[in-house]
Amino acid sequence: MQKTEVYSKLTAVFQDVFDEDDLALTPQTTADDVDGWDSLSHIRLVLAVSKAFGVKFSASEIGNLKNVGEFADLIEKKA
Amino acid sequence: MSLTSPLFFAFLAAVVIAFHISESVPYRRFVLGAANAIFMASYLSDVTQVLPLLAFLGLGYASIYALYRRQSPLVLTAGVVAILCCYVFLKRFSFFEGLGQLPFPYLTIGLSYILFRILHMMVDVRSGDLTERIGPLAFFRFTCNFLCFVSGPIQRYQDFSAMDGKAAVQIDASVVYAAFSRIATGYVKFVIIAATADYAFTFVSPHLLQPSGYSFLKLCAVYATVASLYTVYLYFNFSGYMDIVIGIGTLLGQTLPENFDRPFSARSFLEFWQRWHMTLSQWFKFYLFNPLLMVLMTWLPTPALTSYLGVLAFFITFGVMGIWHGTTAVFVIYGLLMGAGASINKLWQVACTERLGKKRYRALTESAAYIYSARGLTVAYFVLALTCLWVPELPQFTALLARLGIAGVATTFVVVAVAFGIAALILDVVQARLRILDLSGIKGGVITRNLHLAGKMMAIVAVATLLHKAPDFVYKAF
Repeated sequence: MQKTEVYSKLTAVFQDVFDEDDLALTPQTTADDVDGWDSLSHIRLVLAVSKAFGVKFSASEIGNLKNVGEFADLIEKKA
Repeated sequence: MSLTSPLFFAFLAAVVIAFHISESVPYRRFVLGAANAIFMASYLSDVTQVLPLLAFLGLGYASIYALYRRQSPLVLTAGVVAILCCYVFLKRFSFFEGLGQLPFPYLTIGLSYILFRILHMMVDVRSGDLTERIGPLAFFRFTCNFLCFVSGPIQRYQDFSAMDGKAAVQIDASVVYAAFSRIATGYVKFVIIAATADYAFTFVSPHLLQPSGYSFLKLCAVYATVASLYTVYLYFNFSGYMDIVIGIGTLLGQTLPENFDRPFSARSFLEFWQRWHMTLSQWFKFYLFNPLLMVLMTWLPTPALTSYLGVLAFFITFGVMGIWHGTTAVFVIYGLLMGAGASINKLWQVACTERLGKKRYRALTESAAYIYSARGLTVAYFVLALTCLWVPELPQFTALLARLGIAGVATTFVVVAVAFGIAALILDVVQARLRILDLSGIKGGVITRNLHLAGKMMAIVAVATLLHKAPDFVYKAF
């Protein structure tokens, strides 16, 4: 899957989970930049991403994600 | 082997010198493995005392080996159940006294942390995160690393393996100076601050735990003092220990993970747990909280239920963490109190966001009044919840609560919260003023730097002589 396709699909998932239609993602976007992205919504986000891309994440992958860029790289590797 | 004993210093000097004799990785691995064995042997008076621990390690290795052969959920479940049953039996939890116990004394130090390392390897081998085949000697060096044996930090095998005997940290004069400086800082915390707080705690706490004719306000003041002293003792004892082992790790080419990141600067209870005993809280987050929440959210996918599922996951996670800390019912209460703290914090955040909106809530949390109130409340809650660790027997715990009553606990909570909030504000103002003065030229000078290090060592000698007491490491008991 191409990186642009990953970001496009990932942005739609983020907008849905955090209920913000104008949410834009960059590789540097972190939890601090998105209102409501905390430890609880992070899990809901991971479940939504897993469903949207048809991939599974391990315990340490879920826990070690630092920003959107790492998330997109991981999805690109698995999808 | 106590960290403050001359024997430990001699042992350490021998290991560091032996490690640097050759750069050969197999040789260095042999030195580290032998150091682990000698460190463990220092706790034994009879060889039979180590047999249960060796059996536990053997079971862990067999479980991991089975997962290499077959990465199935069934093998993982069977391995986790077997390891947990073995752990509960060996730790002699009071809830399971009916299970009986081994008819001889044996080593339990380090068992709790070995458990975390084994479970992490099993889960990661099953998920495919850990593909490297772990040999029995590498398994021993990882699970029984003498630097992390007594009380962590809890490393991941992947991070350990990248440094195992390879001198990942390049040693030069400034690195060695920084390592010794960190070790000296650790001993200052351990031998001076924690020992002094422990001395005062030991002196004052009997007045609280035994019946006395104290007035209500005096009783609250004594409780606030005792609880605060224990917190100071716990933090400086534990973080001092971490400074010592992390500094020694540098001399042995290892970068060990940090366990503390200025926890008392936390602006919420949830943030506090991101800064306190970080490798433990991260382990629980990775391997219990997140998977549990995923299961709950898969069963109940309605977004409106997120906070409530989070509350349930907080209670279960902190409940298990509480039971891990000790073997009596009071440790369950400790876990539930921590779970309640995290849940109240999360529900407060959700309620404020709904009522004020995200932007106004964020602006509120940036105001000075909110910050220092939140810091005071966070620390006060933690300080009082820690009572479970210094009154671990249920009859004494309930007797103390009965003496204080709800009014006594609430008054003490307010006193500690206000006192800490004001102290934190004053400290921050003083630090900001000091930052205006540029002291970097003086602080960075060779003479000042070395004078500072010598001053720490002199202070350690002076206070250790004064107290006549070699402090023990508090977390060794957990």
